[in-house]
Amino acid sequence: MPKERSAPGGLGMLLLSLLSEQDRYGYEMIETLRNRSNHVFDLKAGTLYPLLHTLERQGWVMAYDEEAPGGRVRRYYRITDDGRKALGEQRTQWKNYAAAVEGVLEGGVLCGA
Amino acid sequence: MAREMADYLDRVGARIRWPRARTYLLKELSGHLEDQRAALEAAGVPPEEAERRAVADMGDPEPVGDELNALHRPARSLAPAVFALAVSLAGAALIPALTGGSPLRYWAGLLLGLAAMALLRLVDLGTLARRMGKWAIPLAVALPFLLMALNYAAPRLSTGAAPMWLLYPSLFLPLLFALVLLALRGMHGGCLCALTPLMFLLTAPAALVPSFTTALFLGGTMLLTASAAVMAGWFRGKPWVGLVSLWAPTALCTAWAVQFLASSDRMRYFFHPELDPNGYGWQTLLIRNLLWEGSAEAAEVYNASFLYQDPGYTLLTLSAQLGRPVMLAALAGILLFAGLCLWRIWKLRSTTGKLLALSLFLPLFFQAGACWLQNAALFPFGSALPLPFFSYGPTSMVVDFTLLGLLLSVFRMDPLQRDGPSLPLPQLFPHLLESLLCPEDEEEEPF
Repeated sequence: MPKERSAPGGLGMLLLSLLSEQDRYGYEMIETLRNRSNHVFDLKAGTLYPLLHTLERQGWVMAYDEEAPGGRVRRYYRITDDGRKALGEQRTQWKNYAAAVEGVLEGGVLCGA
Repeated sequence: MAREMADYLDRVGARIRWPRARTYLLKELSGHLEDQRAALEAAGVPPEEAERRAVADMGDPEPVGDELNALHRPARSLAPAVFALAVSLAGAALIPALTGGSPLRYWAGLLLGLAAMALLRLVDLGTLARRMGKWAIPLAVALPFLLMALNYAAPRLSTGAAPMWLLYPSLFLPLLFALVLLALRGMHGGCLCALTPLMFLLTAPAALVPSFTTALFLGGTMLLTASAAVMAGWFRGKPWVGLVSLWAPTALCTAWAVQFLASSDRMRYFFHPELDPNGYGWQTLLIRNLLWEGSAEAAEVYNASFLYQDPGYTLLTLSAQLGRPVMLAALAGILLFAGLCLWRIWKLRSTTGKLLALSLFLPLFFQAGACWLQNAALFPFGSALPLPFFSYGPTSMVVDFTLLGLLLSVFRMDPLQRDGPSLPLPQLFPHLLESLLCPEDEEEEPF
């Protein structure tokens, strides 16, 4: 798994972005990611949870248990202040990266021209 | 749970070595499987097919288990234990040799204490708190009465005081208070004034021994732990409301109690020891001459006095034998231990862990501080409890290592400790009373 601190535009950034809107639980994150990306990001739970727990270890998200409809206790995740800061940085890095890729694909100024 | 899902969880769980992490993680994966299956069934997929697809969507169980295992190992925060052991071994080497006490008794206390610490380090206080829930409140009310009944029934010492062993259970009452705080999550901070009578009740067994010092530092522990809970957003409303609600009644009641102590002989002789040349004043003057003046004559008088073999004055005894730097070294040791523990508590991920840890650390710290201040003749009241981990006292050694073992268990469980949900307010606070005491805030709740 790539380290989330060094990979711009990684899955970690996408999860932080979802959590920056509201607290969510695991299945909800997978479904939201799938629907918004038009099934491009079809994350398996076996990938999601190690990633979430890594983000938690880094202090970017925190987990808490809350009673869900039906009486079951469900684990929710919430972004922390450090997580919001990291998300802001990663968004900037991603935009710069995407702009650079776009510049190459669209054909920039030739060297020596 | 259906068979295919259970098989999947078993295969993941087989790769996770830490049993507590396995339980925690499989519960989360199980919840996810249930959510996935329910969503598929709601979309019209037959139950057996929904289960098969839910399991297939999880990914291969073995790599998942391996990744989760790598991320979830028990935290090793053994620095406080290593420090306490080093102090105990220093005590084992110095105290019996210098005071003529029994090394066997000292070593027996140390070994029992280490065994208690090693066992209790494996406890999961967070799960205990969750299971106890609101039952912590009636228990916190009943236990002090039980201890006071034991105090009443116990045979008295020649001084008329209750036996000192009755103090030791009191050192665990702040932990019980922390469990009450955990059960009251989400209560409005303005209602925290209702905890003042409980704090006084929990200090009453120590006060009745009598040990005003122990009662004072137990009360201080509870007040600081509750204040930490307020600052961590454990209760609703603005933090300053919670702090005022907590401190104001406690300060008023304490001030009322202290005014009686302020006019006592003990206080007078502390500030004017020359007025009591045969009792406490003499003792205070002796200690000050020994430590503050470095008087060799005072050291000789001390070595021949009843204080020499008193476990509460071990530091002073060592200072009389080895010199005044003993007190400075002890102070440095106390501050180092406090720094190690507070740094680790600060790093804990959950507020639950922090509150439990503070309720276990602060009694040790205040006990050490009170003992040091008493030995330095800087505190008017005696500390009935010896210096933690060091002084000649097998029972206190076992109790202090028990507290340390529980503290280490909180550190150990930190990777898995989470703050539970806000529980519905108990019916102990009728809605009308709460609405009178705790007006609604205009701001949104913090969680």
